[in-house]
Amino acid sequence: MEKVGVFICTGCGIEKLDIEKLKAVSQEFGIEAKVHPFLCSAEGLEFIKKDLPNLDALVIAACSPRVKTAVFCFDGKYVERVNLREGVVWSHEMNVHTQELAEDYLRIGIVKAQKAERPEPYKQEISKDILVVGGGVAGLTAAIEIAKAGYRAVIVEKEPELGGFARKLYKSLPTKPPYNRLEEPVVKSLVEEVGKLGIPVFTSAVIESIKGQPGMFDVRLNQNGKIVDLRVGAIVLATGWKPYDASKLSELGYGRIKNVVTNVEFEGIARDIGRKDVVFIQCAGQRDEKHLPYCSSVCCLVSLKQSKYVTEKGGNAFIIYRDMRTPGLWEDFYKAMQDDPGVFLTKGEVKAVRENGGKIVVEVANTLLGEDIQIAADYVVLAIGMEPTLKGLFTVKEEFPDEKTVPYKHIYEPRLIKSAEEVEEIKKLGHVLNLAYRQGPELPTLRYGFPDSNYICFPYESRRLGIYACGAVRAPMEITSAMEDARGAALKAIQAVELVAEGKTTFPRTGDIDYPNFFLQRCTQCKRCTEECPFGALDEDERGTPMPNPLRCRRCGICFGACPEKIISFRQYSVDQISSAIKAIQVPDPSWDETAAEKFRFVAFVCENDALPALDIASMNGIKISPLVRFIPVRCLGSVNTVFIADALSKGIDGVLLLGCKMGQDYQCHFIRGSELANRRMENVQETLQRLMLEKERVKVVEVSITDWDKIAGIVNSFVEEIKALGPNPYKGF
Amino acid sequence: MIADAKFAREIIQAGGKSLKKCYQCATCSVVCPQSPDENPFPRKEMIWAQWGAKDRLLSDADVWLCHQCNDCSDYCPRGAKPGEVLAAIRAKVVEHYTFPSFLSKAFQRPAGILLYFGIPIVLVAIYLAIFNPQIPEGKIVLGNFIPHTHVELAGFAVGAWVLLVAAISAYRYWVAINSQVSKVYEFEVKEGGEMKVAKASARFIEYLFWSIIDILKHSKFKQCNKARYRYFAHFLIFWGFIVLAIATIGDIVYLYVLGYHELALPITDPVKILGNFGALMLLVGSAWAIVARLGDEKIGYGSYFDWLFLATIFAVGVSGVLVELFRYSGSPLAYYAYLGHLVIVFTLIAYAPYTKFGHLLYRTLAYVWAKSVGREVK
Repeated sequence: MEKVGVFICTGCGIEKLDIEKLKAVSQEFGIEAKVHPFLCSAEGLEFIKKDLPNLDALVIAACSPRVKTAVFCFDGKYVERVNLREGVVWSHEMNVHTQELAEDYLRIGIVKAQKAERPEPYKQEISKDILVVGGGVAGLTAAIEIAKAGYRAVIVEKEPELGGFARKLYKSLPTKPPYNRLEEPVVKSLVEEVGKLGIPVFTSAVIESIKGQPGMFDVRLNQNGKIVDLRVGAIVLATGWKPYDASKLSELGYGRIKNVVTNVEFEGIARDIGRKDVVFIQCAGQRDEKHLPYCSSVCCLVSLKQSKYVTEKGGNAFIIYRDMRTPGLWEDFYKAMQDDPGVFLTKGEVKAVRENGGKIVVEVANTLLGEDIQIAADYVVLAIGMEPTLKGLFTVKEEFPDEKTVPYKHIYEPRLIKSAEEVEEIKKLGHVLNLAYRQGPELPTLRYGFPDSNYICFPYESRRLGIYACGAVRAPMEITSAMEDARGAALKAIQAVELVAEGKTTFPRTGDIDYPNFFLQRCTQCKRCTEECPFGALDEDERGTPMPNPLRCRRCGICFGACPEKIISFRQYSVDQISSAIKAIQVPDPSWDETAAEKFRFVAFVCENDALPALDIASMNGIKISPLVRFIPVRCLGSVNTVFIADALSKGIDGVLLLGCKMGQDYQCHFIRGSELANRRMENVQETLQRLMLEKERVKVVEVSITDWDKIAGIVNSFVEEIKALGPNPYKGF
Repeated sequence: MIADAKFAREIIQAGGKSLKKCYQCATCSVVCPQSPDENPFPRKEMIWAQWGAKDRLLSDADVWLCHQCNDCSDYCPRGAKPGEVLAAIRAKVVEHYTFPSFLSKAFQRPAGILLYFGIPIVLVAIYLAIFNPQIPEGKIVLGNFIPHTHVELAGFAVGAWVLLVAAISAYRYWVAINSQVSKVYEFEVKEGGEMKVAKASARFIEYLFWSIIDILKHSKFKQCNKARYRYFAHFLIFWGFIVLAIATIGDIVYLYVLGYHELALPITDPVKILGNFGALMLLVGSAWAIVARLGDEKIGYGSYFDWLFLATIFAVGVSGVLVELFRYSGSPLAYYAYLGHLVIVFTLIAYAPYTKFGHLLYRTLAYVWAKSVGREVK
């Protein structure tokens, strides 16, 4: 942008800097800096607004970009924040180095503003209809909520009838205080309401394919052989769960002894068994590395509910649990059932299940009763767990790496694929969404077949924009939670269609209209961008040239970090912009500056989601950090192109530090694998360094989380000390 | 071990209403001042009760080491009131070992009150029908209405019955708590892995002696925190009875050693003073227990079985004092009050093996057992 204004605030301690020198820096770019003692005040803003008509971009040299974002927001103007407060005066002792730091930050800010361009939103004619996949409790609830909010929902259900799993239930858990009476299953009324609202329903139908992008999904359904085409804006995935395969539990008697049944089967027979003694074995094939390693969270409640079926008929229910888990208000239901004299509860390990004279004898060890016990019963119910419907399907290629590819660390169980035929074999297991995406036909999963998402920060988001999973396909849950989950997903889907209608993205950069542009003439079809995009935004043509789908994009910049040809850039975030910012840093040159020997220079690329706030918090807590380091915030460490490192080192920067989020299975990265990709790329960079006779220690990636604010200064300072010990970059002054 | 839902329901009915609420956190066992470190109570009794483990509970002497301080109920995060549950289990123990046990079972329910008073009323009515005693004129002398010899003979008969039943109960109970089932604590692993056998030993008399000393001193009650009043109230009632017993011995001395013909002693008589002092202790102690027991919902108000016994003690005191007041005031009502007093005293003594009074026996034996197997908390 051409017309850049520089505004320096001198409040909050910034006045300790030499403001005249800062103005001189601005002068280097031919800009007269404006100084105000209190820029965020009403007078300060008036002061800025006077100049506003003549400006395209503003450089606000004041506080951290993480604070006062709404204050320093001017319609249609690009704002670059120079972090003089948290980044300089609060986190450094005042000396010549600190003054130089502030000056460099101002240069970086002005360059970035100059290099930014005006973005145009990607606006298309879109559909705001929402497809709900699955007609169970979650799907029905989502469709009802969508319809009630004034949008058009369409339900597709594989079975000939709506209702899903909940239709098979005898009774359901209490949903109202005092949480002690079982209720009639809610599903009937949901099906009726769907009918009343006139929501279009396709039963006995499966999805043949989904093409396109949010707002413009072209869905092809196959309803009993009849093809139906739809265009929808967003998708709610509510395909639910399947019970764990109990035939693997023969040691608990299943398949071996009559009347050893699963909790799912018991639901069907409970109505008619009469007065019987029943043993419930909790965690049957769950929380067990040999079976399901996780807790399905509902089975304790289900067994308590089914105990009520038993005691209502005068029988006794014995529950052998590992831990009784009844989250939230279900505690009240647990208490109510515990109070039932016919319900016997103990922790214990089932040692054997055998037949004896028409009864089933369950031997239990390590009980709370202080001794091993044997219980003779008429029925044994195995509390088996829930598996998501995505489990076992061919989801995305990265989960099925071949021998040549390095598997991603966040993938729990990479399944090694030997041949293309093997892939075809797995694909025969069936499909749910059948997305025509380059990376694979289903939502990427994280662990155990549940959809991948940064579920701490954005619980409903999947890794496919516009597609939201809810209910038991997202995580094991009971009906009430699934309904609540469905409401959440319905709102996210509505939010998505509204945002994409204006060309905006969703979480975490909600509302961003800027999207990556590809200068395809120079593309070498290396496919890095199409493979590395965590959100599957890029398809490709038969030659391997990327075909961008801007509405699937979350604007993280991982693609431009990947591109060796530097052909991908956003209008306001580009390789050129960051490279120029690095070049704007003044590196003291020993050939003309006598004191340069002690003036090392470092660049740290910091993730704006975790590392940057950690730095801000550290400075608010008065923690001091080396003034030789220039922190450059990036959207994600994955958007750090190796060219930035090359630029920095060739300019004479002594070391480059990359501070990103935690990676691996418990990743914290907002963009799933940005920090892991940065790490991989830096391994390649280090090989290059060695070729250039530079020590590989000069580039380092460190994982920090927002809670590491007390450690971050230590990390940075010790890096500085390490590199000082190595000596200055020999390329200085070249 | 047999899980018996019926027995669990019986405990609930006998006053352990909240027992199912327990989720085995063992806070009770930690806070209990009476509970030993190894195999502490009342946590294990709570789950035994939940599962209706009758054989375990009935041969578990630990329930009698409990003095219902209610520290457990006070700290219980679930409101399971282990104190009340253990009291209910004790009622079932009394019922189980006594003879005939239906009497005890009947007294655990409010309807049993008919039987409770019915028997002595019928006995008194029979007596009145046979001997047809007349209300004497003039100075109130109880011995002129019903001769002391009659009362004494009746007392001996009842006492003999009570002792017989108590002996049977005590034997059965002692065998049970030392049986195979209760030998959960038989082995004690010492440091270094050496095993020490810890079971009931032959030094019964010695342990009994020290147990009685403990009872006289109320040294266990003294350890209670929450229901501290119990120490004082029980002390007053207990020593009130002892003082009254001494006064009764004084009466016997008057009658059979010093040759008194009747016992209408003046209020200044030393034996009368002693008797009145005992009666005062009894009244104050039982009134205190009654008032204090109503004080805290969290620890519970006690079971019917418990209240029956406490109310009987209080009634014995009140009726005795009434007799005395009427006598000194010269009112012939004293004779009627005397009849009432005799009926109430009968319920107290004759039913001792069937009511909470039985605790005197079981708890004493439990003390002896605890001392002999090293389960006593020092």
